[in-house]
Amino acid sequence: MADLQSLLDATAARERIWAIPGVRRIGFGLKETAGEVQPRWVFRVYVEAKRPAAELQAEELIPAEVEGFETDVLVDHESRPQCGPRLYPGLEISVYVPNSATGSGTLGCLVQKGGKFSMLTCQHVIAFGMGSENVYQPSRSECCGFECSDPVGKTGEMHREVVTREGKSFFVDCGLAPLVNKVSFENELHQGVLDAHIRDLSTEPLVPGTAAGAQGLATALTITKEGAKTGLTTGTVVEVCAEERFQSGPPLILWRLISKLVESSASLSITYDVAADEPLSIAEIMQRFQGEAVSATQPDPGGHPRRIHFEGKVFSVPGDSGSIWYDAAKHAVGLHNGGRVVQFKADGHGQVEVLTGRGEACHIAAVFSVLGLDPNTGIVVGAKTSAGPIVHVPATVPPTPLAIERELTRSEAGRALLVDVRRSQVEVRRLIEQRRRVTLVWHRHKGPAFVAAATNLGREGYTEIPQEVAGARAADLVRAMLDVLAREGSPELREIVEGRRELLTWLVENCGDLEEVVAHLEQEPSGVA
Amino acid sequence: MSPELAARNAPVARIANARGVPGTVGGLVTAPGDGAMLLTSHHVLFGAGAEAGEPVWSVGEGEDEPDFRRVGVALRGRLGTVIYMGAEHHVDCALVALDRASRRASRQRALRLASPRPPRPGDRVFKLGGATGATEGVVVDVEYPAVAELHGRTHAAPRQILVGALDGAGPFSAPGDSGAALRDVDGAAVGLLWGATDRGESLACHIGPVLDCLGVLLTRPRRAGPLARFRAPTEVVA
Repeated sequence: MADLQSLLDATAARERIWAIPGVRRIGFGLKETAGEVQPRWVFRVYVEAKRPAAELQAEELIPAEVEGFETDVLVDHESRPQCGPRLYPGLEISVYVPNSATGSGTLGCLVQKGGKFSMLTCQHVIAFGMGSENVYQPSRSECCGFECSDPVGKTGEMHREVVTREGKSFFVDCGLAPLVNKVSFENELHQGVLDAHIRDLSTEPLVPGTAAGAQGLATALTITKEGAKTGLTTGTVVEVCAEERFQSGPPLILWRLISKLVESSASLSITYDVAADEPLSIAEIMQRFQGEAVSATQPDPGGHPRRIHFEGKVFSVPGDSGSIWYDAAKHAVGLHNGGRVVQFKADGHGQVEVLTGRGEACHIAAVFSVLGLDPNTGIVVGAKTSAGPIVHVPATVPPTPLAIERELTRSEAGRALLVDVRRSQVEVRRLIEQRRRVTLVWHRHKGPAFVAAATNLGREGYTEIPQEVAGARAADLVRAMLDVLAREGSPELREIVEGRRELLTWLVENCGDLEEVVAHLEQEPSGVA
Repeated sequence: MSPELAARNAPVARIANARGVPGTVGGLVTAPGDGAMLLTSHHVLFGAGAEAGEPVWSVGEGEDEPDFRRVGVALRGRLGTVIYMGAEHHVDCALVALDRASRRASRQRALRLASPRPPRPGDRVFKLGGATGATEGVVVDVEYPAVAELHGRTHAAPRQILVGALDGAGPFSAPGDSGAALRDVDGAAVGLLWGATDRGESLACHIGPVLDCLGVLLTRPRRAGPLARFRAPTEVVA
């Protein structure tokens, strides 16, 4: 069976293939049959287009086998360099620090501060290294040990703390990664464009929640998030703040958003054996999943009483941090920074965390405040050019003799001129062709060159009268031709020439194009300048 | 030359490229050796795949349908970021090479403007656009970091003039106004309108980098007449 090396060595076979007309490229690779890749090395012979064998000449046929090597005929497509990354909310981003840790999360949205564009995400997504580290989308890649992907941003300002704003304590976990390398970007969501204005849920009417100090929105709010790992999920904001107890100090009402899952395609299905030294009882662990999107069940209470199976849909998973929560009007309301979990010790795993299915986010208004982003202009909004809808413009066609005649007939003087042209054109042409004196004047003053120049201009849609060609002037040509036609023409032609001499001389000296001729004839009813 | 003829040959405010993309003429410009040209937006002149050398039409008001008259050909332009006075500026600008008749008409009336000065936030500005006509607005930002579509993708468009509509007034601009000159209260051109944000504010690139990257000087008509539409809009909206 052939392999790559044997194909590379088979120069004689390749020369035979190259001798076939229409061959554009010979690839060394695997056979493709009916869209399926076969594990056989073949010459992949590229042609511009496949044609039925009946339409091909004998010498154009590509044999199924050449000197013992199989061939596969394929259509050759043009190659185009691929543009750099296009950034939009929901993409995975990651920070790479040489010889250190890497982090990844989700690009929340694009924001601008002081004229600089940045990616908004969580602090814990980008807080690696010493600052100003490279941010990649989705991640740094290497080819043969060398970096082969360009960063899309650098880590910038970030916060993970409790901040006080208008007397309220907000938990914020946010950071900016200013864009680099002229990447393309827009705040295009799956369901439209992120609105330019954020929505501050901490200022909206609230009602007490179930937990102590907790408060929820008076009107249920369904939000959507686009995470790099779980994609599009929806939830209901069930809590905007809660009283929390810390290691020291009195309880604090902390403002952050909690969502209950409504819809998600992300599933969780995992089974653990709870460690014997886990302080929580099996019943207590299972009780903590009551009413949650993820359920906890004992698959084998008799045989394995400490085994719990967790099953259900989740709002988010690790890697979704940094995504934006937005409402139906595409107003950003939160910055996703985590999922609610239940912790316990499991045999063979140590301390584990099992998602309940709920999501957690920082209030976007607090995030904007701590990062110094303007709530009105911070979110990057798109722009549209202001060209109007396409109009039907005239086709560019040469001005035909008929069109020229139509223009001339717009005035009395023009119509009269046309009559004289028609009366004299046959005789003038005959004199130019057959009367030596007329022919000499016509050629001496570059008559044919002027006709060619006017024709060429006409083909491009111009109606200009060439004023000078090959060193000869149009005015001199007209004047000389009028003189010779007056001498050599019939009495009728002489009469026309003398009657039109002044007008024609004036027109050629003063008009640059047909429009000016027409305008003059309209202005001068007599036709005389 | 008769006034009628001059009127027909004069550059007009509304134009369309050979593929039918309509826009507005920002003004007359000149370059050493090139004579008078029309200034407009790149995406108007080269929109929908139009190429240099293709005809450009003036779009007039006909009785039943628009009256198209050829004024010249698409010459060259610039769409993207340029460095001007040491800073990055997005520009969207292009030039129409006038046909001889149009060029002759404009030459008799062209006069160089004084050097444009940069606008400031809060300044009143005006424009005369092919779609919305003469409108007045207020400068919101002169270093607005906009985004613009470039080769089918959205990129940063640094240092743009953001113009808001006046309270109670209609929009400052609408589709069809691209290419209109943004002028200050003295009638001096300060920008070239090219778009609007999704919020509805109008966007214009600064006139300085536009003229600089195209290597042209702005001109304006000397007296009222067929080219009066290019004069300071203060006179138009009064």
